[in-house]
Amino acid sequence: MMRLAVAALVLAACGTAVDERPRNLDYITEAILAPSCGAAVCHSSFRQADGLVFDTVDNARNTFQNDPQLIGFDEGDPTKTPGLVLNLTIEQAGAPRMPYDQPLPDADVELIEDWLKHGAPGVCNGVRACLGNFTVGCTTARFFDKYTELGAYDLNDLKPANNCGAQNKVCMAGVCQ
Amino acid sequence: MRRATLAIVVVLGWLCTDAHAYPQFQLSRDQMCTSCHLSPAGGGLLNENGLATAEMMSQLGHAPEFFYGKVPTPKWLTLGGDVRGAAGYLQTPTKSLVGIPMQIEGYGSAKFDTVTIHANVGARASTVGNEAATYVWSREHYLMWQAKPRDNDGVYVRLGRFMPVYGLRLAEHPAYVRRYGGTPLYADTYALHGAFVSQRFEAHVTGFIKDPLIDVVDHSSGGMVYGEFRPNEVTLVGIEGMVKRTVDDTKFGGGVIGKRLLGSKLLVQAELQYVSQVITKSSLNKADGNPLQLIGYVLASYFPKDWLMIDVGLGHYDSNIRTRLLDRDCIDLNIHWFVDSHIELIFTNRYEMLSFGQGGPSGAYSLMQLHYRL
Repeated sequence: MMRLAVAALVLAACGTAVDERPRNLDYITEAILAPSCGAAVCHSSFRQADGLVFDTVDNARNTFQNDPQLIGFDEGDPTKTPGLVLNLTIEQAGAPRMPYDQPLPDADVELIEDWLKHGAPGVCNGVRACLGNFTVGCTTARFFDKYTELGAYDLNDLKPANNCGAQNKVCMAGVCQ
Repeated sequence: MRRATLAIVVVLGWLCTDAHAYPQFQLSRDQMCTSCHLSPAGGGLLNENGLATAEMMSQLGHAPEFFYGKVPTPKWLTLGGDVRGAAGYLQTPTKSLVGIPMQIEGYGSAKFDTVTIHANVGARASTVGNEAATYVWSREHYLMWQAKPRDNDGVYVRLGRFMPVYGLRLAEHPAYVRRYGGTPLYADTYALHGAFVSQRFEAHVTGFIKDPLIDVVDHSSGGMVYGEFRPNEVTLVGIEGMVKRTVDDTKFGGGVIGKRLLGSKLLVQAELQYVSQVITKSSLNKADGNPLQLIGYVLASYFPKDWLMIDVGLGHYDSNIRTRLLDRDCIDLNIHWFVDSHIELIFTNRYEMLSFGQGGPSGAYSLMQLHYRL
């Protein structure tokens, strides 16, 4: 028994120092959100606590699309922290830090933050940014062009992200809407 | 306000449970789960020997039958139920005092020679937005065929809704080998289970599908195999394997199990699982860096008295051994006091660390749980 336990600890220490895990919705959901947040009586299809569901890629996508402040940055303040990161890192008024039953590793939270900084690839099915006032607008969408090498976008949809001008306009597939 | 509501709901729903047995009693009380339980997987309703054991190992005794034997049932019908609740302190790392209604379930099992009809009904955490239709459910209902209806061994076949058979089958669903292994809480689903049970050897094969009728916890379909061999009365070794497939991923898992009774008062059991998770490829996800997971649990159970069981468990879970600082370890201390044939008090505690403190905040809980078996 002890040998097995020691072997497990040794294996656990063998990971790479640089986090090379993919930054896309499929991976984030299946590797982090579903096992940690989509548990039985929390954000599963079974329970749907607070209307948020993270147990499948489609359900996570719907959740983020319906509540874009979870993943989006304020257009006027690109550094504003998305709600999802706030929920995972700090205790807020009347609400505990999530997940409520056991903490999430910092490395997972950092991966989620990094994914969001890359425009949350996958949430909008190849579209660079989500709809809504809190999502990345066209002026800031340029920032994300340099991340296209991550395979986050359909290259056929990539067109110059011109400045859309008026607030609340969003950029879908490089075209102002 | 919205987030405050979330906190309360999670607290109320967390740590719910189902009707798992105590695998601590295998070897320490008897060899097979079916020695005490009607189900070939263990858990749930007790047979005559199970009732006698419940009385013998409780401090105050009392009639172990359904409602203390005050509600007589015909010989072919077995009734039962479980009521559980817990309260205590949680720090993950938010510090909270919590009260947790865990389980209210009733069971019925009607046996007609080789065929048994089993069903339960109980309260559940309802689905937000569909509360009226989801307060009550039947977590288990199945038809069972037993080749030797008057014995506790032989061939069993079950068809219906139940938990697939895999691993140690610990009652405590926060145990990593359950939560991150193949059988998290409420993973019961429609399945076909074949089992062969004997004093020395038993094997279980389960094929299951995603429940098509309700919004589920576990979206997978697949299969599980589990086998255990008892070379003598104090030793058990087992192996297991599983494939679970959803639209989004496929998990291939395997593991080993060991159990050993040391003297008459100390039992040590362990399970180690290895899981390869293959996330479905898409234009977005190139399936690089698929998680390779390691899940382990070692549990030592000490029985200083018949009515007292002290569990000390060590758990390890690494959600991806390819990446550093994702592993977590816990130490559990659970003290079970079997007050009478129906009442159990459990003082349950956990301290959990992420990469031994380097991976994030540590967590802990300390809860007092009351369990009443009808």
